[in-house]
Order: sequence, then structure tokens, then C-alpha cells
Amino acid sequence: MTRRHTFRGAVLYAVALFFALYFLAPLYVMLVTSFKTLEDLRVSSIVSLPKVWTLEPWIKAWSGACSGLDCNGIEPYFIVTIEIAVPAVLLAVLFGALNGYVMTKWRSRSADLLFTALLIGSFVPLQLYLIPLAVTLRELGIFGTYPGLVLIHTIYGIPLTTMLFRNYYTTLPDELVRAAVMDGAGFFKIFFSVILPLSPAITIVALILVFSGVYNDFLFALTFGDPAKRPIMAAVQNIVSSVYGVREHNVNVAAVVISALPTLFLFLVAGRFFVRGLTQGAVKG
Amino acid sequence: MSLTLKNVVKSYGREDVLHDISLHVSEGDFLVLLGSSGCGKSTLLNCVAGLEDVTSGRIEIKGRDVTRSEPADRNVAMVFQSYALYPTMTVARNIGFGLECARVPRAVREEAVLRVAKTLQIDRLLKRKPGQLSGGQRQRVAIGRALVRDPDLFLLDEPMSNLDTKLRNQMRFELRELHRTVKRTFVLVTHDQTEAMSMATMIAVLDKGYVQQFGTPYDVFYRPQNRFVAEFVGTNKMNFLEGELRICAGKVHFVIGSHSAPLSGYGFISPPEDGQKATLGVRPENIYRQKGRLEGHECLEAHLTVTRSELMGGDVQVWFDFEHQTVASRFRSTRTPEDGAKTTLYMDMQNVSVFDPITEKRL
Repeated sequence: MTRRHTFRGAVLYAVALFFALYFLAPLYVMLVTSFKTLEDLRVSSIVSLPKVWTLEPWIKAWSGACSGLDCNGIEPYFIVTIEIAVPAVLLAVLFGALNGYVMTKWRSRSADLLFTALLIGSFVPLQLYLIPLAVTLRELGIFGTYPGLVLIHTIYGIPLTTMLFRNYYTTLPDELVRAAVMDGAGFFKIFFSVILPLSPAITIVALILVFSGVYNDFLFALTFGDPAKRPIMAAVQNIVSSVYGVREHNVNVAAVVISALPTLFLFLVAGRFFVRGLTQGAVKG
Repeated sequence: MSLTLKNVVKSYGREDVLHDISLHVSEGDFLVLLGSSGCGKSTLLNCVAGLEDVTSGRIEIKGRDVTRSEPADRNVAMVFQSYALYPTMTVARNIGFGLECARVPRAVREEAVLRVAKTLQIDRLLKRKPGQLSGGQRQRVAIGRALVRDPDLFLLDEPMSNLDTKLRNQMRFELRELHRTVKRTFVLVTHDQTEAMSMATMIAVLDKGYVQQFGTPYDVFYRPQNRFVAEFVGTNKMNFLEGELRICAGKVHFVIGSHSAPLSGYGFISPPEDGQKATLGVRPENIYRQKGRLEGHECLEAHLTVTRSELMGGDVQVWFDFEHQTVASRFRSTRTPEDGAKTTLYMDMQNVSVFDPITEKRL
């Protein structure tokens, strides 16, 4: 290590530290705000620590904050979101894996064409789909319902999961499938017994990506969802904009933090799989 | 358990990769499909397996037409080049997977797996995953997977190409033993002519999607039907000498410059003409330095100059100039002769092949 190297390292770390702090600053402000009393909020600066630490805003945000006329906090919406996300995520991942399997191991002439179409489709801005989707859902008679929203999220997740699984499956040797065919295994037997057990990492990646997509969705929920059963992001927006008397910033912020926790937690816990799964799909393919 | 191919053609789009292939091997034969990469040998094997459809023609196994049957309905088993073991399954489940797919009851399945594993001496490895096995062990598991289903036909796609030389020789021996004990028809694909020679009862030499020759290893080695087969088969490359055929007093002679040798023991396919141009194919191991080794054989005697030599273990490979053409030979010796040295050689005319220089076919 020469002095020049140490200097360069120090500069790099300083820059990295600066950006880390820069990006973490809003989180800090939100956290301290959510632990302050309203009284405290009025007099203190936004970056100062609470004079008195209180859990009151968190409790209120979870079970007592008002969204419109309901004052049950975000808990019910949280459950609604899980109800939407679980089937949508599972279906999108299952179909993505099946698509990837078909496209790579049962290659037909149309597979590449289909994949290109899927890729192009996934780069089109979301907003362009709104009207066609609304018409489709209306025709199916599920506009503004829970199944409708699940269907939308499933379909919207499929291009992403297909891409992930396809890229990973191209790295699996075709001889594996041929061997299974010789063993007399059928299409689904090969998929569930041979291919899927080889895909835990990429499956976790797909689960996380689709889940966070569905969880963080605001636009689809607002457009196609059941107004009585809003998912969490739409509910947070409602809570923040429902004002009775004094605007309770601490409660609003606590609601936002609570709503962000699940995805944050997922990325932290599953980060290891995430890196492994992504490189598995990308580097060798 | 015989295998018959009748006029099998395989095309991808407009390009034919297999041209009109007809073969027949009987029960208990060991057929080797021999050829360099891209000759269509693996495609042919896949067609027999049912992994690829043939464009036209017929495939019969045990006299039953299976041309349009699914792979699983042909009662054939295959060992792949990469072994293609299922990485997430134990050795036991790998071997039993075929039976599992056929819905064989668990108890019967486990017994069959154990029996096969014992035959192949891998019964101690049954609980392991393929990732924990050595190359040779993986090979055995792959063979076990084929064996457990008691198929009519074993298909082996270059099964030894991923093993080191020592292991390869051992596996070659074991495969031959296996073939002897199970008494089924084997079809093996390889590019290694030594492997083909040592294992096959029948060899099909393929090139550019054509069967160049189909016959016993003896025939393929001693009676190659064309120059391609003659060159492809044999550890030491065959010598080709351009000359002509002369008929005098009813006897055929091969004439090259000032040299001449009788060919009266040679079985010509059609009677040769006087003055016909011909290529003489002589294997290096059929060239001798002493005439004593050729008692009673017709031979071509020539006094030649050494142009180059190489020591190869207990043998020397020596190249000579013969009427401005090169002749390679191999002798048992521990010393190389000096370049420019003169030696008298005797070529065994009993073990030569004569080809048409234009069509390259055997005369």
C-alpha cells in the first residue's frame, strides 16, 4: 500500500459515506418524527431527537388512524394487501417458471419471438395499459373487485418472472430434460421433479421482486381495486390526506414507516439469495 | 432386441443431416456408430432413442415399428455424455426415477435399485447426491439408471469422453463385461476408433450423414470400402501410394514407377483393367524390414531412403521416400535410423486395400 493508494481509498470511502448518509437522512427524519409527541413536533427542529420518546403515534397509525371515515389504522389494509399479494405472487412465479421452462427446454420456433414480445411489453410505460386493462376487466365482470386486482398483478408480474426463469434455465443442460424424457417422465413431472428443485435461489428472487412490486403498487390498486378493500399504499395515502383538526405528522410518518417495513425486511433477510439468484441467471446465461 | 433402420433420413429445414441410413443389428450385438464430430452419429442415436423425429424412414426395435413412438414407449435406455444425473436427487432416486415415472410400487423399486447398485458396486453411495461423486462413480450411476429398467436397447452417447485415460480403459472393459452379462443390444456413439475396434461386434462408420461402411471391426479394419474409412480407422494412418494396375499372363500386378508387386491374392470387387490407375493402401504395421516375417505372402520389395523418424516409446515411426511419395512405417526398435539411410522394406500385399483414385472406392 502506497500513500497514494491510502489517499484514494480515503476519498472513495468519504464519497460513499456521504451518499449513504444522504440516502439515509429521510429515514432518520421519519424515524425520529414518528417517536415524537405532537407538542414536541411543533417546537423542535425536524432533525433533533425526541425530548420524550413515545410509541403513541405507532399504535395510533397501526390501529386508530382515520382513513376517510374509518378509524381503524392501517392494520386492516395491511391484511388486505397480504390477501392480494400472496396469490398474485405465487401465481406469477409459478407461471414465470413454467414459461421459462417451456421456452428453454421445449423450444419451438415461436419461443424466441414470444420472449421478444414479452420483453418489449415489459418496457412499455404502465400508464398505457390502464385503459385496455380497465375495459378487459369490465368485460370479464371483475372490475373494481378483489379477484380483478389479483389477476392484474399476476399478469403484470409474469413478464418479469418469465425473464428471470428463462435466463436461469438456459444455463441448465438440455441433457437433463432428455434424460428425464428417456426415463418416461412427462411434461409436468420433469418440471416439478427435476427443474423446479434446481431453482430455489431464482425462485426467491422472483418472489421478492414480484412481492415488492405488488406491495408497493398504488396505481393499479387505485384504478382497479375494490374501494372498500384498499391495499396498504392506497390506504397510507388516504390516512395522510384525511385531516380532522390538527394534522398529525407523527402518526402519518409512523404509518409510512410501518408500511415500508415488510419490503425492507425482505431485502435485508433474503439479500444473500438475491445476489446469488441474480448472478445465477445473468452471468452464465 | 434387434435394431433395424430402414432408409432413415433426418433433415433440419432443407439441410439433410442423415442420408438414407439402413442398418440391421441382431440381438446381443454391440453396434458402434463411429465418426468425427458433426457426422450425424449423435443425431442418429437420438432418432433411435426417440428424442428426435426422423424425417422419413423406419426404425424397428425387436421387429416392432417404433418410428413414431414416444421415447418411453420404446423400451430403450440412454447414457448421456454428461451423464445428466438429476443434481437434486440422491443416487438411489436417480436410478429409480424411471421406475418412479412408470408408477412401480416403492418396495419393488427399492429392491430393483439395490440389485443394480450392487451389480455396479455403488450400493454404498445410494444416499449421496451426484455432486458428491467422482467422474467414474457418476458414470456408474448413469449406467445404473439405464440398467434398472431392463431395456431392450442400451444407447450410449460418448459415455467415456469425460473420463481420464486410465478410467476410460477400465470402463471400456466393464461395459464389455456388462454387455456380455445382460445380453442386450448396445449402441454406442464415439469418435474414438480404438474404442470402436475394441468394443464393437458391428461398426457403422459415418461421415457427412452417410454410412461409409457398415461391417464387423475386422472388415472395417482390413477391408475398408473407401479411402475415408481406411484413413479414419487404425491408430497409425494408412499409407496411400498412387500407381497403376497391370495384367500380365492373367495375373494382376500393382506397378509404381520401377517397382511392381503381384496382387493375385486380392479379392477385386469387379475385374480390373490393364493400365487402370489405382491407389494402394498399406498400413504402417504391414511393412517389414525382414522378409522372414512374410513367409508365403506376396510382397512389394523396395530399397528406400529414410526421410524422417520419431521415437515413440518402444516403437519407432520411420518415413521413407518411395518414388517421390511418402511411406510411413512402424517398427519395434529403441533407436531411430539416421536420415538418408537406405533400407530394404517388404510390404505385405496380402493385407492391402486398392482404391479407385477418382471415386476413392475400394476396387
